[in-house]
Amino acid sequence: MHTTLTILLALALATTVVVAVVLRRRVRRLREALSGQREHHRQLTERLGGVERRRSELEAVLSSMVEGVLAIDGEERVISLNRAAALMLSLEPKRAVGRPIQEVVRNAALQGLVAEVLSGSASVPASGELSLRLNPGSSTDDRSIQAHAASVRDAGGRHAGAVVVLHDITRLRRLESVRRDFVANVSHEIKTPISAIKAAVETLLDDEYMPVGPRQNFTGIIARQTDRLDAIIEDLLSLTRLEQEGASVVDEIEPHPVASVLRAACETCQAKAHAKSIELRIDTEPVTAQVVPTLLEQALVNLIDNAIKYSPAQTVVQIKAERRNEEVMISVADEGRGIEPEHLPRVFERFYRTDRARSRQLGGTGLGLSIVKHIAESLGGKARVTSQLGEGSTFTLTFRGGRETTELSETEAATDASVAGSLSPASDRTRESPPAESA
Amino acid sequence: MPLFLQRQINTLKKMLLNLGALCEEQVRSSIESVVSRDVELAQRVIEGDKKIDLLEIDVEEECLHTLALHQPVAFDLRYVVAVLKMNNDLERIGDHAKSIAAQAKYLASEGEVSEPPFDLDAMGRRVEQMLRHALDAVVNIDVELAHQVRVLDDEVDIMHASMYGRAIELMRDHPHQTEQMVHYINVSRQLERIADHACNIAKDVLYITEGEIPRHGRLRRDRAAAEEANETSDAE
Repeated sequence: MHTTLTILLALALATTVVVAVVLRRRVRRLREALSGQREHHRQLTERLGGVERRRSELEAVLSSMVEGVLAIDGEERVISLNRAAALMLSLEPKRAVGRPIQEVVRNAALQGLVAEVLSGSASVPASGELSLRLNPGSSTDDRSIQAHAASVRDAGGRHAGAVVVLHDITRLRRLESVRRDFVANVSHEIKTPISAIKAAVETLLDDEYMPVGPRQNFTGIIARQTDRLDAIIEDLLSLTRLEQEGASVVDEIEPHPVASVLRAACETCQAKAHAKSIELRIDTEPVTAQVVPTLLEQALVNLIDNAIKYSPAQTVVQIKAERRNEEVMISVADEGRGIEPEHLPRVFERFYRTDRARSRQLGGTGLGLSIVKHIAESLGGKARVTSQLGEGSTFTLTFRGGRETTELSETEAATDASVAGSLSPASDRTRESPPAESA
Repeated sequence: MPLFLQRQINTLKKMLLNLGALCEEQVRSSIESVVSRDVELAQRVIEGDKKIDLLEIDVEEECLHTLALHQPVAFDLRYVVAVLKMNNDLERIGDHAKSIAAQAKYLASEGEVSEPPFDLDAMGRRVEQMLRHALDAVVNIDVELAHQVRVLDDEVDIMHASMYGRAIELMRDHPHQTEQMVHYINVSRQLERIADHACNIAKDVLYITEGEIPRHGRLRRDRAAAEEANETSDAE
């Protein structure tokens, strides 16, 4: 009995030991497996993070590109597009992705390009120029877009889709057309007076016994047209000078009181204003601006001269200078007929005219405003125009303001005001006319 | 719907929209060529019409192919039939654009008129807008947009109708510009026709969704009323 108990006990003990050993082994194995899992998980997370990082890097690069990038799959569906592409094609990226290009962008040239690349007929990247309208319905916002499309192949070398890169070349095209217009205009503007001179000279040569009256008529024509030719070439030369000296002018820019320049410019134009009973009204704060006085005066004379030309008699041309934060704004406002909105963006172009016949009759060369704009830009400023049809136009020049204290500029302005009219280089021409303020 | 039919219908849609994009550009360029007296652009429009004609044939063949091979029913059948009809309208729109371009070439070769008999810019923009809306309606099967096109069509009709009176006045005041005026009248008529075709496209979109033919609504209602009256009188 006793021995049986002992044997049983020993048996139980042995079983427990065996079970414990087995269990411990299993736990160890489990623990090992678990740590392996953990390691695996860590690696996976790392790799995923890497992929994510690379993706966001790629996205950042794409979205900060100026060129539009459009990715398209083999079924002509948009896979992705960057911000520039969305802007150029006026698309909402969320709505465009996953839909066929034909639904998203209704532009035959772009669709054709994509189809050509996907069909595999173009082994080299295909390219074409598209004309896109940014705001449907308006005729002014046509953009020229250069598009390059290349096929994307997967690892097996099969067509997987296409990538289209869009480049906005509107500005380039515009510059090209401005240059073309310029050459055409110069030839035309110079040809007109030359034809008149030629005709007059030929008539004079043909008729030796022409009476004095007509003869004087013809020589008068020749004189007038020569003056015109001279004015055009003078303006062209001064434009060229401005362009060439653009960089060197920078060294001569210094703070200069504006009031004295305004007065000098007004005096130059006083005679013309007087002839049409137009009052030149100066209203200036004592400000100084970063300018070259002779150039600023030339620009102002052009602006005031224009204002007088296009104003009806007995009106006021208002010349103002004021400081706005860091800038000085000088404006010349007339009460003329105004400029149509469609001409406004182009009035500073060379030889651009809103009304050819009228402008030529008034004796303009078509270069005045272009010179103004060049002067403003070479002085680091800007030239702008606003206009209300029937109420008049305002041309505004903006320059950086002078740095020194206001007291100094105020005293300078005061001295300038007291001597204006006697020291101005143009005063001899305008002596008979009353001072600017009381015209 | 079987996958291959779906794919076929997607292909049809893509082809139709491709044709639509071409027509839209042709219309825009043709109007532009009249406004800016651009003979070169007008010539490009005239040449470009060939491409539209070829595309029209492709779309039609694809439609017949789909009908014969897949025998679609319900919505799909209406879709294919509508594509067939819109295809036709688009091709006609292309022809009208070509015809406007031909007028542009003539107008550019003659002296500028003192004043065209209608606001070409406004009418052109309205017609372009109609075509754009109609095609947008096709893209999204947008019933709302399709209805808008029909409203715009009324405006274009009014513009076109009031043009005649003005043209006659101008011919009386400036008899030497009579020929130009005749060409302007033609341009206006072509634009009005384009607007009508755009309207047809919009109606086809309504047909796809609603399954009812929205054209000649009043005529058909009258006929139905007449038949009903007949039946009642027969019964009596």
